Amino acid sequence: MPFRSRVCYGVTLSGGVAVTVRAWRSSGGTVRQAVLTPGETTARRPSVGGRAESARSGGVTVGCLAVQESLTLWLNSPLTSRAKAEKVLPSLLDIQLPFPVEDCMYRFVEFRRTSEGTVSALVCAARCEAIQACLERYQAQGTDPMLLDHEGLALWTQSLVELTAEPSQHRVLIYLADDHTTLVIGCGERYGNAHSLQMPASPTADNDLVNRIQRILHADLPSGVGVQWLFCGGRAGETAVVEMLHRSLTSVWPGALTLMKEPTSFLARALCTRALKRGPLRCNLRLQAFTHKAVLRAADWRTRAAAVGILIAGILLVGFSLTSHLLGERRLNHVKSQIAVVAGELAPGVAIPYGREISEVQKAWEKQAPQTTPFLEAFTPSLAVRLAEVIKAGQTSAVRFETLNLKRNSLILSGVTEDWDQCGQLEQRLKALGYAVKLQRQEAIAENEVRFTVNAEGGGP
Amino acid sequence: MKGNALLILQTCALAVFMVGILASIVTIRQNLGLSAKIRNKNETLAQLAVIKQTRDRHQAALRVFEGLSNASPVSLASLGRASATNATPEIRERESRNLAAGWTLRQMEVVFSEIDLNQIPCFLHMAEEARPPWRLVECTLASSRKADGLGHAVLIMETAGKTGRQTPDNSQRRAEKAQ
Repeated sequence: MPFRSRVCYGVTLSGGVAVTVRAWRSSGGTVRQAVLTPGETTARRPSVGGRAESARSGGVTVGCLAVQESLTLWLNSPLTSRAKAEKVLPSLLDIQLPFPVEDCMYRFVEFRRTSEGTVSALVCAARCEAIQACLERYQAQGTDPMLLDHEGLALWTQSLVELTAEPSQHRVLIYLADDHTTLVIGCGERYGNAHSLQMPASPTADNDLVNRIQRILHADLPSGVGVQWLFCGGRAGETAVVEMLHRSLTSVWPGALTLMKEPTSFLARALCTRALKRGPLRCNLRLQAFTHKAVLRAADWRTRAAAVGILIAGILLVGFSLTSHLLGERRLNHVKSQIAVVAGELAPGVAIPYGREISEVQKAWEKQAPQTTPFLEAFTPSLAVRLAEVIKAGQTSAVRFETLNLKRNSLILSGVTEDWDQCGQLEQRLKALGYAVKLQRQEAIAENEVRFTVNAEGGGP
Repeated sequence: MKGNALLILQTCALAVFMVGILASIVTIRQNLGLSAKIRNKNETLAQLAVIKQTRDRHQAALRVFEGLSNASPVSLASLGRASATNATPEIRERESRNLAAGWTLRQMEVVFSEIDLNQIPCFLHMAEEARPPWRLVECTLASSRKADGLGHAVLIMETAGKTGRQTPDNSQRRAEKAQ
């Protein structure tokens, strides 16, 4: 569906009487429902001639095609690829149908993989005449459903919503309408098939209904298996009918009976839930020529919106690209101008070729620097302080200097000491001042004193 | 007619979108080159900034010197007499060269013979405290065999000055006058 409405009207026709349920979805996704009285229905539900725009604002009307006017069928393709299977499934459906596939509307509502790995698909189909007749019935009741669901699929999914399925447990839902009975058979959460029977005037008095139901069930269910029996529909309130059917059927397929809450509006609720929420087995048989005008308009609006969106995206892309490029160029020019300003300031009067700013500025700076370096050097730590530190190191180590030569990054010493180890102390102290020290000691020969020389480098501030 | 309008809209939208995609691709490619250029230029700018920072430090130091009330350096001979008793240093000019803003760098050799070496730090301190200051560049000390504490000192001092020129002769003359 090309739009998701928040309000939905589910309309079912049973014996010429319409049952309408109004449902609305909250922002949290919760669906609330209320059965409308005939008066409320006329006032609130979009009518046949009503504005189609109400699909978005006023709500969606959903009807359903009865099981007797349509069919559901599991088709098994021999292919393992779903994409390939989807291509051959219409041909397989054509073989199965008693009428040409071109005369019907169909929709594959579920794909499953069989135990052999091949693709199996559930198709829902209805003849065009049946769809037309169904729509005319709805129009006679003053409504034109925008979506046409399938009765059997709707009953099955709603039964799963209202009563959780047990895995591998067979389930049969019997929908007792005023004019017909619908059987929906499945196992676990898997939909099996749906059948429809005419409802006799007095079901309790006539065993024909039970026999027909049993015949149908024998085809789908092995005798003796446990079955979960669910009853709903307008006549599910007739306890005698329900008990009679349950008693007769449990003799072959034992199982507990569950009567659904508010059974009369069960199908209408199912239609609303399916229209408002995403889920499995969703189906709309108003396809191609039968598509509602509001849906067509919504699809058209969506196509236009998509085109406009793409157009805007394209314009934005072009805009962003141009802006990004211009900003990049601007930033590059800004950096270039900054370089030109700084280079001009550092090398005044020098013509600097583009790209050679660093080399030219360095060249200019190498010429300028010697003229100002002595001013900066005047603020460096004094060599006199270092001289005092060296002399103090000598005094502390009890050595006597004979010569001392001190420059910014070198120190040459010679002297004498009474002890070999005192030179070592001097060496450590000079190292502490940051010098890399080379100490040479000479053994005392004629005198008692040890002579030493120190060559030290570094240490300068 | 309506279908045509939708078709035109879709075609235009697709065309504009494709142009947008192409423009984006071209811009991304151009911007890759551009960002590499900007990165290189930023590196250049950073290197220039380092040079400028160094130059600014030099200029700031020069400004301090420019701010001195007296740009003429004090006489080393007078400093020697004032700081060391019984010692008159021999002073020789080693080097002189012009600096920025009319300043001149002078390097002098100060030789003290048979001086009490403990007086050298005092001399150096006074020289460094003078404005413009004298700086010790190199120092050679040799102890004398005559007496403990005596020795020969050769000090290479330098300063930046602006007016006058201190020669060995006139400094000696000034030292003699002072005596």
